[in-house]
Amino acid sequence: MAIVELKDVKKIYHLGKAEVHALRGVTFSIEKGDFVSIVGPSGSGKSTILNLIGCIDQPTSGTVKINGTVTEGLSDKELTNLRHKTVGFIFQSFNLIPVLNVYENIEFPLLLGRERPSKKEMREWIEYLIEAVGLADHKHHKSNELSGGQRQRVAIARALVTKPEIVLADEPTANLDSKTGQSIIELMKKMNAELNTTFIFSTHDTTIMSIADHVIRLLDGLVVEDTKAQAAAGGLS
Amino acid sequence: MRILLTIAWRNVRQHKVKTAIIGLIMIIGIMVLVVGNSFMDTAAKGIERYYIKNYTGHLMITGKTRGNLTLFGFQDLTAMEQPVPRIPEYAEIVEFANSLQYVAVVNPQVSATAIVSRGEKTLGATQLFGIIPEQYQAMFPDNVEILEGGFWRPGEQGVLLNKAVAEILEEQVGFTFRPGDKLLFTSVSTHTGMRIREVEITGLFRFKQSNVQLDMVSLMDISNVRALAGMVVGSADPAQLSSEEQRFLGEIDEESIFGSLDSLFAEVSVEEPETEDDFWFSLLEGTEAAQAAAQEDTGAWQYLLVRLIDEKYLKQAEQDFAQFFADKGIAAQTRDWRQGAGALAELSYGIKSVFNTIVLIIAVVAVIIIMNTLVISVTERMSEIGTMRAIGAQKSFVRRMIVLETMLLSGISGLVGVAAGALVLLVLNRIGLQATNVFLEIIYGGPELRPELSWPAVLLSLVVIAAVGAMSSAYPTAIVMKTSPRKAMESSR
Repeated sequence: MAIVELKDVKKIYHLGKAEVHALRGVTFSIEKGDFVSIVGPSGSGKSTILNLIGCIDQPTSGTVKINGTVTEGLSDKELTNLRHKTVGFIFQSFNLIPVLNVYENIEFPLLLGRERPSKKEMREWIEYLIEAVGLADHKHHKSNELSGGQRQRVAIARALVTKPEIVLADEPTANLDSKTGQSIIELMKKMNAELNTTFIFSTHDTTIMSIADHVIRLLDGLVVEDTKAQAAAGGLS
Repeated sequence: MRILLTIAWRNVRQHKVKTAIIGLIMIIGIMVLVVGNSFMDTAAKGIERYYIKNYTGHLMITGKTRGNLTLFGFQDLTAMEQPVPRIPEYAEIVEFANSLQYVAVVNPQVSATAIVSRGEKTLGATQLFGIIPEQYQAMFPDNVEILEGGFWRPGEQGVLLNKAVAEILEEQVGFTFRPGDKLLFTSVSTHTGMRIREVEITGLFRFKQSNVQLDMVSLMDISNVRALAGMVVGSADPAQLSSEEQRFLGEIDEESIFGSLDSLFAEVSVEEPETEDDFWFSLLEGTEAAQAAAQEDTGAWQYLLVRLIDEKYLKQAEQDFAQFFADKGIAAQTRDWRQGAGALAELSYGIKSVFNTIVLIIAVVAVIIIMNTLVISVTERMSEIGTMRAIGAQKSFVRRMIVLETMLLSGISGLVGVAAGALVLLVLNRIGLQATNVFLEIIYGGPELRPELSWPAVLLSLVVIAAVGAMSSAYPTAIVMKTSPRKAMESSR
């Protein structure tokens, strides 16, 4: 079942009088529970695709369908609700809320929704995630008291706390050393397996590419390689 | 809400520079506002208290007239157009006033301004209140301190000279006035011509609580002040005459009395007090009216001052008198103590308005500074706000967060400002502020001011701080509202 579908998506940015064609007609789909890697050089359109899947941007033309919902024409409020329910974010620079501690940062997305689990359920679920990302001893620490790897673990837990269908990770290991980066990837793979959450990365990291179920390679705003599509086509032929 | 409060409170604590700048501006602003307005309110209450207690009573009844009529006469251009009207149906009004249970005491007065001279030499000027000492002292038992001599005896005439006036006059003659000395009082009016009376000083006094305007007031017997005010003793305004009186006066008019208007400004002879009102009655010589007018008309008054047993009856008194005047068809009206007190009391209120205008300007500057600081703060937090938006915070959430932070900061600063203001007022109250010049005396409403914390001032300050907080957060909030969740991604890369 496709959780993400892009059909002939084009995105043009206007920089003054100049037009930048970030995407020139991209079509692919991502299955639920996949560990997906979107790769390509700088300027190839990776970030634009993540923005479109994350419902924080709209295509100039074409269709973006997230968990069965076409994003085109949705209001800001509807897009925010869709993001909140369906998508979790992991940022390159972690982007934790500095005044909140580990527990509160993870809890934060749950407090934004109208439908909330009971306090007990919330606490148990957050405690589980904290335990799962290995920060049981740090739950009352503020982000400035944590290392880069620990911060990214918090970010992973925060991205998963609303039990989203999709987690978007924008170069999650770019600001980490290789050893820490490796452990973060392993953690995400573990969560992917445990929760059947779809993980979509934009990355240069070859480790991620090697363990990904599905690799989409971009160049100059076009898909030049889609491993799943090719496999499917190969299967058909 | 809990998470909003947590974030707001921690941000206030974490961003120390922003908190310090905004907090300090607000604390100082609120402190100035609380101290200033409490100061003004105390002064205004003092003015009200001592004017009602010592000079005006709660209400002043006068003849119906337009213009700014005070106890000191008209204080606007109306003075050029009309004399101070006398109260019609005075006896009936007094009877009605005394019948009201909430009326404590009444006191009639006449006011005039006179140039004071001795022999050929003009010495200065004084405001005169024409009074009956017994009634005046019954109404204002504590306002006069006799320094020498005393009031004139009942049925006699005289002037109780204000020491402040006496000192000005004494500078011209080079000696000290004593009871028994005589002075010439001259009034000039476009309505009544020139009037001169020679009056004996029966005593010197000072008002216990005074100001620059009241320092000019001397107290004089009613007969002489009526004469100086152009109220010919024993007569009434032509407009007020009954048909019987008009018939009685026959064909007397100005022409028949004076020959021509020029005689008003011709040589004027000086009347000795002993001659009583002979001068005025001599003008009626040869008329039948002269005999009738020689009888004292005790109804010729310009003001009837009314003190109530409690200020809470003020509105009721105003309504009752207005109804009485309407029912009886009497052309009279009530004025409150503030109108009666005149320009100086008004000036104190005017100064308060000026102060509040200055505060408003300061508030606008504060709003700009605070807004600027908040804009910088919000700009620094674009990534954080973008992250919140990306992970599911609606625009309304981030708006509430920024407003709450500002209001929290404003609220704490406001309370600290009020506390600091209260402390300053406590110290000032203990020390007491002495008026070292006339200007301060006007502001203070007397020679000394002991400011007290005014709750309306505190309330006003809190309203102002809330308004400043709301206004200064409006623009930063607008910036926040436009922050796209893309900012989280962009700033992260």
